[in-house]
Amino acid sequence: MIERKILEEKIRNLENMLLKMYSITVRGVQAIVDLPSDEALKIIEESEYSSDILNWEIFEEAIATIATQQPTAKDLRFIVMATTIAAVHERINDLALDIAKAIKKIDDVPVELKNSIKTAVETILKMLEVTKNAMVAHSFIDVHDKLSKLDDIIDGIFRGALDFLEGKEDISIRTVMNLVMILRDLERIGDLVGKIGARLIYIETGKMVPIK
Amino acid sequence: MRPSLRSLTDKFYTAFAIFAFLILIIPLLHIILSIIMNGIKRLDLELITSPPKSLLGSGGGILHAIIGTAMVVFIAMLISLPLGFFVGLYLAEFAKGKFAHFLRTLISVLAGIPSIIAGVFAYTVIVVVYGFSALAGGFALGIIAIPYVARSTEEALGSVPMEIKEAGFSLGIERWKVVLFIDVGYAKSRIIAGFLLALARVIGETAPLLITILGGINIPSNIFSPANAIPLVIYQYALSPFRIWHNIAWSAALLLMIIVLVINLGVRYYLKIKAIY
Amino acid sequence: MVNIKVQVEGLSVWYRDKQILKDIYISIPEKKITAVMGPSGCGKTTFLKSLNRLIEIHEGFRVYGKVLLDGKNIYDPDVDPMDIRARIGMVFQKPNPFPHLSIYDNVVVGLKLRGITDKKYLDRIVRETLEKVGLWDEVKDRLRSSAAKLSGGQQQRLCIARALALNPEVLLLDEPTSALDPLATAKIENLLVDLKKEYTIIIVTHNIQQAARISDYAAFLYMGQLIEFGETKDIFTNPKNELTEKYVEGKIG
Repeated sequence: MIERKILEEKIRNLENMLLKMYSITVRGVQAIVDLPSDEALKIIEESEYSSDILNWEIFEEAIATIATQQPTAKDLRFIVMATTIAAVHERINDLALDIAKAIKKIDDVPVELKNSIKTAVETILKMLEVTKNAMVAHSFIDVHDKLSKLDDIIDGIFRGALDFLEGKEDISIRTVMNLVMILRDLERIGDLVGKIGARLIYIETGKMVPIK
Repeated sequence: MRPSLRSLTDKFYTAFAIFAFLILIIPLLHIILSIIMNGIKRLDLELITSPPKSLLGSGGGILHAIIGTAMVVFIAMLISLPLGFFVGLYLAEFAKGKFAHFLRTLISVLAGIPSIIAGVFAYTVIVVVYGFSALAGGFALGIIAIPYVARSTEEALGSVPMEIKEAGFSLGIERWKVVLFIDVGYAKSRIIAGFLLALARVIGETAPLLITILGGINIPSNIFSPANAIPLVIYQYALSPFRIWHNIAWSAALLLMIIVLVINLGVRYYLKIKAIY
Repeated sequence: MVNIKVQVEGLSVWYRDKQILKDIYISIPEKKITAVMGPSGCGKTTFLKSLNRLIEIHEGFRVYGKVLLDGKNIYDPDVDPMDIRARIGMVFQKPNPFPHLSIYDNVVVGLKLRGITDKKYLDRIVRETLEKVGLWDEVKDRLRSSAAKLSGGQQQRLCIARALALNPEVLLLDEPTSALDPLATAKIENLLVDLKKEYTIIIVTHNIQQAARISDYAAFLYMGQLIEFGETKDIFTNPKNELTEKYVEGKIG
């Protein structure tokens, strides 16, 4: 077998950049639980900023690699998907910042919803870990199943929370509006991590398998 | 009508070419076959190993002529190989403009000289001083051989591809080293082939030997003594009235033909196995 | 920070009454691979041969301008061209090992002809350079056989070894793989990527994919002029000059 040293080096570099992106996202999402503290907000702001920059770096590295190394097949799928996965991470961090800003605006969050948010965040973190492990181990066997189940949990939390709010009376409209946005954003983040999983599966198999 | 005329013309030219070939090849074949048929009789060990015997007995050989030829050719090569080689080398690698043109003209003139003139020149230079000798004969043949060696060397060196020369220069060595070690190294087999062909050319020269080596029956003791040579002894014996000598002459001719054939075929074979490039 | 190994200033080369290279300024970085590309006839080979004064062995060329190796102009009158050619080695398009020499002798011919004859040293150089070019295992049992018997790819690697034996600082390669099959080409490309750790490499190629694959810096030559020079990834993703863009897009040349 002929080694393509430069290409392999660049692919490993992109993998490392994706891992770095993963840890930025985890940090940001994790901090949601500690809101509305100022530290948590700061962490989320930093994560949003770093993920934006890293997204561009990954993009530039990817197109330079394509232009100079003429990758094909799985190498090509990986490089192109790396850019879309990075973009998804950047969206997730954006949404986390939205959530942080929204929580800052309200102070009478019902305890039940606080718990719902916490559970949703934990589920999201589990989903992210599934994608990270799959990428590191190059093993995508049960990614689809695991992510689908976890995403269903988040969808359940979202619907449950909406039901709860419908029934609640002593709560300001403003709080409700923000809570709905927050919960909606968490549900979106769950979907986005599902998209990451789908792209990882595509890299491996060349087939688009949506995760809902 | 038309196609028929064209194919007829074609056939005519083919026939004419074959006819011309036959006109050329038939006499050649006749010569070769005559030499073989007449010469095979006395082509024996005695021919090669013994000197001439007295006329009245049968037998006897041409050992004296063989040794003489060896000496004369050796001297001729000693003179022509180095000189011809360096002239050829110079013309191929260093010559520019007027001097090169002059040198080439000189070589052409030398190539065109009738061999007897070379013999006369050798007479005036060597025989007058040292007497009839193998040296004089070798000198004459050397002059004849020089243009052959020079031209084949020049051609051999001209065949060195530019990429070999460039590779030589990029080793960071002087020009003369590139020429002497790289170019000559590459063309070595062709140059040596040129040497051997020059040798084959002069080994059968007779005219200049007539007036330089004398052609007696003695085996020459050194290069200053008179000698005989194979083509010369063929000439002498063929013109003699003795049938015994005629037989020897035929055999000597066959021997000479075989030697030249072996050299030529040897050169071809040598080039074939050496020139894989 | 990148050191500049070869600095070309105002290089213009004429052949008889035709100007082949027009006022070229370029800084070749040390221990990187710099590719020189351009369409046929743009002067890339002339450029390369001007960098080790090999251009001088051909009649009719005139060189103006400066080529600085580590700051010293190689065309200065007090500089020995043979010295330059040993410091700046060259490998040619058609593999040209000396066919009348053995593999061993091909590697050391430069050293021997430059006066180095210590057998132990020569043996060591043969082993080291053949190992460097990845030929040692393939030929160690037949070092004395003729170099002409090797395959094209092996011959080219032998030529690289021959140049490396002289311990150069810069290696010039003129389309070194254009006469080779894809497998041999890949081996040599990998070799060059390895060698750049020790040597500054300048490779002329008409194959832009090859230039993209292995070079760190790329220069685009067109009709004797330097159109653009920069990091390879920039040249291939975002060239500054329109002509360069057309060239790397494969629309000209």
